[in-house]
Amino acid sequence: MDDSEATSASSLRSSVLPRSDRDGDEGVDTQLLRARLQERLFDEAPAPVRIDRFEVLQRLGEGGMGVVYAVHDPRLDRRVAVKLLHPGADVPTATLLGEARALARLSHPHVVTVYEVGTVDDAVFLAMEYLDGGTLADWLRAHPVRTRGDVARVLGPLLAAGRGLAAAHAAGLVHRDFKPSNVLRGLDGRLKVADFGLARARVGSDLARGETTGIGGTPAYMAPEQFDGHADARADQFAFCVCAWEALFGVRPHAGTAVLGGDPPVPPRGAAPVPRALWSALRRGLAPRPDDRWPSLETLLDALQRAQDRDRRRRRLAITGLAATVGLAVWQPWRDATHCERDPAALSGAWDAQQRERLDDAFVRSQRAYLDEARGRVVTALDDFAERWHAARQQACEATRVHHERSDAAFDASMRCLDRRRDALAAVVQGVIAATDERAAHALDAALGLPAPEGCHDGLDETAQWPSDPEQRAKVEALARGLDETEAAFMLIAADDALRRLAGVIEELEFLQQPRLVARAQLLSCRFAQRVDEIATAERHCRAALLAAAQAGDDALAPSAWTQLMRVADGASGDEALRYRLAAEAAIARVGETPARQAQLEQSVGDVLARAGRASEGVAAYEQALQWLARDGNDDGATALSIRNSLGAALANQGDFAGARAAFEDVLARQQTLYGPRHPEVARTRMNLGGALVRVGEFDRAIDEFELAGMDLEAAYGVSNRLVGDAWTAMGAALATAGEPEAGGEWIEQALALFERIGHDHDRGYYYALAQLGSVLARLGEDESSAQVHERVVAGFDDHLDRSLLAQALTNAGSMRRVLGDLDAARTHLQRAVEVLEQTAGADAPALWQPRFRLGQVELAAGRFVEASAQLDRAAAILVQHPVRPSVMAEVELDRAAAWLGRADAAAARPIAERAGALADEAGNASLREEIDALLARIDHAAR
Amino acid sequence: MGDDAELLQRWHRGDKTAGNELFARHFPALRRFFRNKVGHEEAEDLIQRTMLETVRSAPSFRGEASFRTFIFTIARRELCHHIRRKHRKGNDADIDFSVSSLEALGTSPSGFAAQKQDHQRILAALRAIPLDFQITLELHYWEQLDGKELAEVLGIAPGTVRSRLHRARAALRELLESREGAPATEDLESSITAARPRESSGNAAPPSGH
Repeated sequence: MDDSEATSASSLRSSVLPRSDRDGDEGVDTQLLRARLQERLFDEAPAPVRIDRFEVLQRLGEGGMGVVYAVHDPRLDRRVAVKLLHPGADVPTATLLGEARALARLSHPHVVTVYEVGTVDDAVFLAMEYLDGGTLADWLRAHPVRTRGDVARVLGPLLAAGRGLAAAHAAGLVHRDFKPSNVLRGLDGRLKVADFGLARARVGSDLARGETTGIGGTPAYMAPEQFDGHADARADQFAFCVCAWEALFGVRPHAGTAVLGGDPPVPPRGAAPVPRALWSALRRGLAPRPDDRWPSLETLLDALQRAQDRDRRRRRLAITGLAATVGLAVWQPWRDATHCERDPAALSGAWDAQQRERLDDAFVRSQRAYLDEARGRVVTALDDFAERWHAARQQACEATRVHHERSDAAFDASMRCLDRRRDALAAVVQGVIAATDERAAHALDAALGLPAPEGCHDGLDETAQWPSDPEQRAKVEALARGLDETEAAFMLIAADDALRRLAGVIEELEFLQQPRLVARAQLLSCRFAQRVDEIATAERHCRAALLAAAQAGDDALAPSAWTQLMRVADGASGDEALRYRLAAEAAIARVGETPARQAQLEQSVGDVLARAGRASEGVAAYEQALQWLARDGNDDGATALSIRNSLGAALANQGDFAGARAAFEDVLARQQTLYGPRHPEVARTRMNLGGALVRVGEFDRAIDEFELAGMDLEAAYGVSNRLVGDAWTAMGAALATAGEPEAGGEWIEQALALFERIGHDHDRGYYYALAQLGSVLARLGEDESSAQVHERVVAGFDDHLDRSLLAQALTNAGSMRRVLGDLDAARTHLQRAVEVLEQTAGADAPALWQPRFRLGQVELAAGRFVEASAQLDRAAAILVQHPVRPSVMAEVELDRAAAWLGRADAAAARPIAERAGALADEAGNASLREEIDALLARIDHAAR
Repeated sequence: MGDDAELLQRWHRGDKTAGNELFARHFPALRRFFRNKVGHEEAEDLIQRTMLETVRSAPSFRGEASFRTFIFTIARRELCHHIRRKHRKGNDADIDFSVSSLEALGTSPSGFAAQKQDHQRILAALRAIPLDFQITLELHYWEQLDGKELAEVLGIAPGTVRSRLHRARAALRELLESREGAPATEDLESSITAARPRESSGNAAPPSGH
């Protein structure tokens, strides 16, 4: 190879490291490795490893051409990416350098910008913009195409990447390795083509590497001629078409068949409804002979764009109902199937012009601002479902009538199943129209949660078990339809009503000996009962559901039934509930593991753990659930958001308020997009966020969030709603914590008045408000009233499922009794708090520090120093593991030192008091420091 | 700075400068040892483990064998542990390294794209013969370990080293022939020697400057 060229080109030499360690990319890798090991083994700050002037931060990965590093550019003080090409074993450095410079001259919004090109020894490097929003491959995986709407959504990014590639062609460059993982995303979502292959001769060796190392992947996108080492812009066109095909249909065009000279590809059976014009344009780009492809990538992109525009126009017509049958044949992708035309009237009565108008009317009449914002979103979701339903119906028809691959009986079963999906749609539409203020907020969730019409393709025929007597059969059919409708509209209908009706339905179904349907009705009852917190009733229904399902041999129902039973199982520690987890897992194993089922299970496990105060385990379960959803490509839907919300709450309970805050901010942003800015779900998240903000000391921002939440909830539900009361309580508590107890007290009293107006038996919100009132009274110096209020809270939470609430109430009451000097009462409360926490959260639960600290103070006041030091030692030990604010820890240590002094052990007391002093200094708390100094003086005195 | 044994004892007593010097001397050889066997992150971990294990076992190093032998023995043990750990999941029977190659175990190396095609071919072939053979050949031809030293590192009787080398070369030759479909006429010994990963030619590569 031509060394003289290389040397003359390498004007920008690194001079930091000895020559022997710098030959080529491995040199940098080796230096990084050495530096990291020196740091890990000898705590030595590593000398920066450089490529030219760039300081290497991290190795990002290796491609066919070279290794990519994240580096810092000291000249412009910014992060860039540097690709260091493998030194020219097969290609002269000058050739690589020339091509790299051509790339650097290219400037296009959809091509990664190359800032600078140079050489280090024999190796060419390119400094490029740093993008860390993942790749197009990640994005495509997360956005599978199922519906017409998805086609447009996926085509946009593909066309953008295509434009970038075409710009490179116009500059005379060929990519040679175009694939989704080589298209990078910025954090703003913009796509840029990266990783251009330089120098023709590398291609063959890249392929060889791919084959011998088993990495593979890239050959899947290669045009036939490229296997022989020939690649021009038309090979890129081929690769682009493979990507687009894969993105639209979920499989590569020649999956399972030979690429070379094979038949032209056709969309797979059961594929998404991609317009014919689109996929036939791609098919031309996939022609084995380069001459048979489009003359340029540009012309292909124009063809795709035209097909897409035409399609969109047609859809608009179809939706406004003007295009009854005109042009609908275009929608049938790959067969002329006259028997299976779409019937636009098939959904009439369920979701037609009239229902649309009534739904619009209902939204307008509600005069709730947030519903006005939600209306468009709900209509889109319903339209989307209707579209999928039509497609599924057509597909079921073609499978039997055109392809003759399914029997007439299977066709009938599919059609019956689709009829039931239509009834479910009708029920949701009707449910939204008739929903009360309270339930209307769930319109979008209900629309998005409709059972998938695609599931009807291999749907099981339930009617086989129905009675043959026509009269009885009609009865069963009516009851089954009722269940479908109730299930679909679950989010939209009132629980009390539903439970009453279901009781009657269950009785009839038992009489008609329909255990499968009984099981469904029981499970529904369980869910409704849980929604209104009637846990015992819910558990009874869930057990009955499982028995009936077993009787019917219905495995499909078992996973959700066990999961649901786990959610409602009694037992405060969660252990009992978690025993059902095994059963749920077994039930899932029997019917097959799906990400959705696993996510549901993990979410429930998380809820159980969070309820039992086992926050860190809860966090882990929620994270699992989110991972499952991500695997399903479903991680920004409503379910995922609700899990993220729970995750934030669990993080807060764990004491990670910064993490909780970040989670809530994230959910808030996403929910505003999904539901609209003033939706009650958004308001709930604001409440959570406000709570986290209070804990990190951002009171002003917290008060803002609570105020917004209160206003939006009041606008959504009216003033007599417990959520509004919760918002006011939180507002008051935040004001009081921020140093305005009087103003805070007013908000809390207003909240209490609201709860009293609407009735508050066992209402968590009411007692929570009461507890906040107790704290405000203490701040105002009204100790006796405060103690009494806290004792009312204790009574209120006595049988609440969340035992941590009772423990907190007992701790508060005990603390106030101590302040009042009633040590016996204080001790009783606090010992009970310790017991409750030990029972539910274990003997070393972090939350135990508080009652133990207070108990220690009680014993100290009672002069029982041995007991006092025992409690305070244990509190301090917990705080070593789970630190709180320094001033609080200083108080604990101060009392602990006093207790040891009380035991006449000045030697033990001194270091503790000194630690207390250090903590007080750290907190900048002068008055506490004075108290500690006084104690130190007493210790000195005692020691003498 | 003193010899390896002295540096080791000083590091063992807590002298990190001595440890750093010892690390600098042997890092290139360790890097080479792991490079054709495991990926980047794994190599980093394994070198660290090897160094730590070396200082931990310093009291047992009496200077009878050479320090290089000592450190390669530990490196080999760490590598085998690592591979066993990685494959434990499937509840397999124990892995026999006189039979299984890294290629068969699905382990990929740290990347050799920078090397010449011809050398890559040899490196790939080395990964495809049983691991015991691979280690034997690489240590012999790349690190010039003699028979006695090899016996130490591999834990075999000194008398069997010669036949081990012979069988290892035969395995490599056979593999190259079966892959390339023609009898290998090349001088195998110089091919292996030449395929030694480039950079840092001597054993005592200079430490990174600062």
